[in-house]
Amino acid sequence: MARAENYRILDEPVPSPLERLTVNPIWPFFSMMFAGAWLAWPWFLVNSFALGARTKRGDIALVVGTVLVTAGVVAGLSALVVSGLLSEQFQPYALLIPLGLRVTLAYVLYLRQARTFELFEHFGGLAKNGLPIVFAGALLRSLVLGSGTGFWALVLG
Amino acid sequence: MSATADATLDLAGRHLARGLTGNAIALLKRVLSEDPENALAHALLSHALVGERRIHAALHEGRIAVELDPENAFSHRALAGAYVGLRKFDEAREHCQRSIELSPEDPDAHLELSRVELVQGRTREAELAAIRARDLDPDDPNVLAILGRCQLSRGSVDEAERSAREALECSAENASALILMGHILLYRGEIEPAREHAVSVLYSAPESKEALELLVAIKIRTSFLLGLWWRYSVWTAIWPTRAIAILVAAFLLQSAARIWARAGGAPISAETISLAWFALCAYTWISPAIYQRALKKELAEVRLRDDF
Repeated sequence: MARAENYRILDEPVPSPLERLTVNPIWPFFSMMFAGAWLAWPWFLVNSFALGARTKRGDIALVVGTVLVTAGVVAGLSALVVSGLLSEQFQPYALLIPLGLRVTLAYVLYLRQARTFELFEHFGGLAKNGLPIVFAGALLRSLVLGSGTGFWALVLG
Repeated sequence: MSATADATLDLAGRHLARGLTGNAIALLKRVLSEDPENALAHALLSHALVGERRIHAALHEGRIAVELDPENAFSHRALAGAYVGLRKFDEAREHCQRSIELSPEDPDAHLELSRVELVQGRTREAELAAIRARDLDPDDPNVLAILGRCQLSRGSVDEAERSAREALECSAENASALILMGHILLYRGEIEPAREHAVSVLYSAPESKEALELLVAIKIRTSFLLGLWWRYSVWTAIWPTRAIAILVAAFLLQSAARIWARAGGAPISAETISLAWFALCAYTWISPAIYQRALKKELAEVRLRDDF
C-alpha cells in the first residue's frame, strides 16, 4: 500500500530515518527475558524512534524512570542486606521486586508500541527479524552482566 | 463544498455502511487534503477510525468535527462513538443527547443513543431509545435490528425474533438484521444456521465486523480452548492496566514458587512450575495464530444452502 496522502491522521507513524531498523516490539520484549534489560531498554527506545511513534517521549521517560526506581530498590535492598535486616533466606524473594519492575516496564512498552507497529505494517512498512539480536543478546548475557549479582546486573539483568 | 468532494464523501459513506473502513479512510483523507475544514469529512473519518479501533485518532477527528460545526448532529454522534470506544459512556451519552436536541426527528440520533446504552448494559434505556427511533421510522431495518438486540439482551428471544423478521421483511439482505437473526439462532443452539447468517453477510460485506463477531461467538461456543483465549483477549483489551498487573503478579508468584520449591529441596517441583508457566506463555503466544487459522477455515468451508 502506498504511503499516506497529505492529510495525516493523528496516530499514523511519522516517517523516520531509522525506519529500516523497525522490528515487531515482541522482539525487544523477548530480549528482556532472554538477554536482559541492558539490551531491551535501548532496543525499545530505538524501535520507538524507528516506528515514528508519537509515544517516543513517554517511552524515554518510562525507561529512565524505571531504571532509576530499580536502581533505588536494589540500593535499598543492598542496604538491608548489609545491615542484616534482610536474611539470606529471603534475599531471592526480595530480588523479585526489581525483576517485577523490569517485567512490568517491558510489558507496558510492548503494548505501547504494538498498536503503532500494526499501523506501520498497515501502511506497507517492512519490519526486520529481531531473532538474531535476541539470540546474540542471550549469548552475550553472561559477558555483559558478569556473575549476575553485581549492582548493575541486578538493575539491568 | 465542491461536487467532487460531495461525491467522494457520499462514496465514503457507502463504504462505511458496508464495513469497508479502509477504503472510506483513504477517500476521506483525500477530501481533507484539499479541504481540512470539512466538518463532515472529519466526522465520517472519526466514525471510520472507530471501526478500525483507532480510538484516540477517532476522538481527535470527532473533536475537530464538533469544533468546526457544533450545530451538526452527525458530528456529535461521531464523537459519541469515539467516547464509547474509550469507554467514557457519560461523555458519549452527553453528545448523543446533544445530537437529539439538534435533530429530534432524526431516528439515527435516537439509534446512536440506543447503541451507547446497549454497550453499557443499560438495556431498558437502550430499548426505550430504540423504540423512539422506531416510532420515527418504523420501516428502517437498522432500527428494528437494534431494537431486537435490546430485546435479546434482556432475554426476550421471541420478541427479538419478531423484530429480526420484521427487519428482514423490510430488507432481506440487511446485514444488521441477518446478524441479529444469527445471534438468536446461536442463542437457541442452532449453530449451523447461525453460521450461515454470518457467512451470508460476509459474501456481500467481506469486512463486516458484526459478521466476524458472530463467527467468533460461534467459535467460542464450539471450542473451549479458543473460547478461553478469546475471553482472555477481550478482557486484556478492555482492562489493559489490570491485565498487566495480574500477569506480572502471576509471573512473580510463579518465580517465588520456584524459589520456594528449590529452597525446600524439591527441584522437580520447581521445574514443573517452570514448565507450566512456559506452557501458559506458549498458549497465549500461539493462540492468536491458531485462532486466525480456525476462523479462515470457518470462512472457507461454510457454504450457504441453496434455499437460504
